[in-house]
Amino acid sequence: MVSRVKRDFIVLFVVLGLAAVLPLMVREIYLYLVRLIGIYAIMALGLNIFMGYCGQVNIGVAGFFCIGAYIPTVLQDKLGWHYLIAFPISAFVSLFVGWGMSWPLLRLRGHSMAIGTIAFAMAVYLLFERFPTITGGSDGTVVPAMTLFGQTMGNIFYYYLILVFFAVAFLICYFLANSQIGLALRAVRDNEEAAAAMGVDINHYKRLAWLVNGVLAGIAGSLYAQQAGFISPDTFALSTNVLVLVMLCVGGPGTILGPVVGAAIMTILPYLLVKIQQYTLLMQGLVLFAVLRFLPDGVVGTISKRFRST
Amino acid sequence: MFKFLGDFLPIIIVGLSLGSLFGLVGLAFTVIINASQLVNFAQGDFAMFGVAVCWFALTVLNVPLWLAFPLGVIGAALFGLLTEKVIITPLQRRGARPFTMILGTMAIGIIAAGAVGAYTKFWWMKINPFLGSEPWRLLKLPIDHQGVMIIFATVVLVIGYWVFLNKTRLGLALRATGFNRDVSILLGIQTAKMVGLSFLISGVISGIAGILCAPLSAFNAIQGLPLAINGFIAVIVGGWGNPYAALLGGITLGLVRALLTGYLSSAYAEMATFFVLIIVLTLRPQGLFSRFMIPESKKN
Amino acid sequence: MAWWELFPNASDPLNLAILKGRAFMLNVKEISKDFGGLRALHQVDLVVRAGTITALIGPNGAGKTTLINLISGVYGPSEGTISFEEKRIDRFPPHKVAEIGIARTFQLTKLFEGMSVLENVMVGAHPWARNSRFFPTVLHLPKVRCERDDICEYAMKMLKLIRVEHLANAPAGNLPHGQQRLVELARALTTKPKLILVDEPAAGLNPHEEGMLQEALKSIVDTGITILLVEHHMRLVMRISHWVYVLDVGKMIAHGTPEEIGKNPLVVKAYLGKEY
Repeated sequence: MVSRVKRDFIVLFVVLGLAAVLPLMVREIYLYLVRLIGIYAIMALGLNIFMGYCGQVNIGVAGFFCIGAYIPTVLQDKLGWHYLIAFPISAFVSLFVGWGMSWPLLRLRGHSMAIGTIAFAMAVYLLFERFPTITGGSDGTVVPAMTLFGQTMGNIFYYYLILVFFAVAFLICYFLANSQIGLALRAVRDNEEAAAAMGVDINHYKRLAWLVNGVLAGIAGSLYAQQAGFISPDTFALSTNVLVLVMLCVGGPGTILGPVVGAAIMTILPYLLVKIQQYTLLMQGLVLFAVLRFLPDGVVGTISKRFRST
Repeated sequence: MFKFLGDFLPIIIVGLSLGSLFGLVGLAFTVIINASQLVNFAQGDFAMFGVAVCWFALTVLNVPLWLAFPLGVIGAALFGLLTEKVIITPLQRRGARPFTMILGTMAIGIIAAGAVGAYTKFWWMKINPFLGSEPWRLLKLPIDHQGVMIIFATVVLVIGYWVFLNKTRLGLALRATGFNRDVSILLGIQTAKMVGLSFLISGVISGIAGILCAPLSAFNAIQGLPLAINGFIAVIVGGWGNPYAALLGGITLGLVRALLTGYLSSAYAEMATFFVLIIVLTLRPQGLFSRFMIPESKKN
Repeated sequence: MAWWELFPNASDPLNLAILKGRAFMLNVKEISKDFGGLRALHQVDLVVRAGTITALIGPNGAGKTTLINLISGVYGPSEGTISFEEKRIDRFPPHKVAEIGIARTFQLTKLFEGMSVLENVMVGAHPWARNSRFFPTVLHLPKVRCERDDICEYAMKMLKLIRVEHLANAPAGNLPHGQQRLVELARALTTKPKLILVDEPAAGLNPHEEGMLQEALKSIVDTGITILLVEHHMRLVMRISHWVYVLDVGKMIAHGTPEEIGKNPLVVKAYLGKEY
């Protein structure tokens, strides 16, 4: 077990190292893609803890993504606070909202909870759309550029910022997954009754996984908003929920690399295969269907099962 | 007084019609839930697809309404059947977790939304009110005939459903499959076909509801999931597992929304749905009408 | 260090006099349970003494698993109380019951299919794994890593006690029935319980597996852990229990030593339907 951890760390350092020098080597368009992959990977990692490890269904990730995007924007825009202060505040808001929502949500059984999560996302969307004076409504708002030491920060800065947060999110999920907590989450997924009989407080762990999911999605939202420069509620509509879900399923729920690989695949694929934007939804649906039907463990899951049997 | 009625009546009709849409979608959900314990996330897309087929027949093929309507319903029904064949049965055979089934139905729904959207470029699929745009007049009060048709159709559908379920052999087989699948198999009931039947019926009901309501509440390709959510909320508000309660739940939601839109503003109306949900979950989690039309022996 | 030295409460073989001197560990008083209109248990009394194997037998449908579920917190009683070491536990949720020292196995084995056997057993460490909290875990602190190694070691010890350590890395979902039961026992043991509720462990076992089960149960009680054994199989019960309770149609109809029970006409009638 020790050598596996060392091996994983080496791989991680190599990947991060490559990512760190990438801006010196490739064009901006590729950096843009990598930034997006980083953001979506953070969300997918969080979703993985709740869905892949704890076995619950969350179709409302975009709710936290939206909160995370709007809070710093509004704080910078209306109150003039600096991004580096607004960012942690928004993470706390995500935590607080997630904690509050966990009480009614956990009272719902299985399927109803899934419905509850998407009802939450819809409610958030509506909330931010209906207060145009604060949030700019459906027209959207421009995100104020961030300045540090008098300089306006550009894409390269955001690239490294996202990389750092990606590394942090990855490590958090890695340590969580490979720990006693990870075992408890999987126990809740596999058999709630038996887990409870072994001393696992079901609601506590579901809540924990939900909060990890929510906070990571909120952080992803804050990063997204700042590097995009412009946000509107449509960015956080249904399609984002679906997209992250598909990323997780394609990559491999319940594995640690799965969400990252899935994020990479589903970010790059639209750019490779499909030139016309109106086919992306259809493509996402087909990919999800194909994965569920033929590759239920996702790319990473299937590969690691092959390795284990050889 | 007259003025009050003049304002109030249209609101009630809109509320009942919209509520019927939610309620019928909720009823369609419950049909599937009762037959197979499955939650169908593509439910709203069944309705959307029915509308799409009908719209296509009307505007592209120039087929008259009396033909386009049944075509749309058949489209929705076939879509329901397809869902069952293509994702439910294969996944169930593999012993997939409920989580996977939910995602599976979602995938089918997304494919439908994506396909229809790609064709319509995600624009509205407009269907004109069936009897023209002039409202009827009852003692000089305007009455929206589309709304009346919806209400009438809902009553007919629900009665028809009840008769089917309780007075026909097929309906009995369907109920038996829902109560106890294993025993039903032993009794010679083809439970797999029953599940397929439940999807078919669900598709028919959703299709009818969708097409009837399309003139009032415009549909585009991605209207499916929001509609499914509203249908779900109707089921939770009304009472899980009880199709008639789901209908009443939907009507309650529709009326609340219409009243808020009419007397306050539409901004509050959509949020209201969630407030009703939270209130019901807190105060009466089993649903407002959960005992409605449950036969005596079950009440305990 | 021999494996029996792990457990400080190792006891001597029991005879009836010593048995009667043992303290009450679990005290079920006048328990009744209704499900809707159906009364599954009526005014049931049961006492489990520390360090014994106490059996609960009865025909199918007598209410044995209902009683086990009540004790382990799956639901609460309609009437009556349950006490463990003098403390009321009848309203405790299942995870709290595990925390105070009562573990259980299930009639239909409930292993965690997505994990290996070793990981399954490691879940059992949860009630006493106090160092594995959220923040220490994500910071990967040494005390968390240490505890993980301890848990892993302890889980392997439990597997060795039940003599299934060779299965440690096998996926739990593919095991044959008898081995699944033994793994469940190992998992329950890992919670460091004072009392284990074993629910119909012998069902579906072949004679060889039954022998392994019997050895396992004896090993467990020799280390000082108390067992409440729910069984339908008279043979196993008669061979290893110190005290037997007989349940029929929700009521306790007899209790005593295995010999007394075997000769009790009420018990014979309950099982066989007529006087012999």
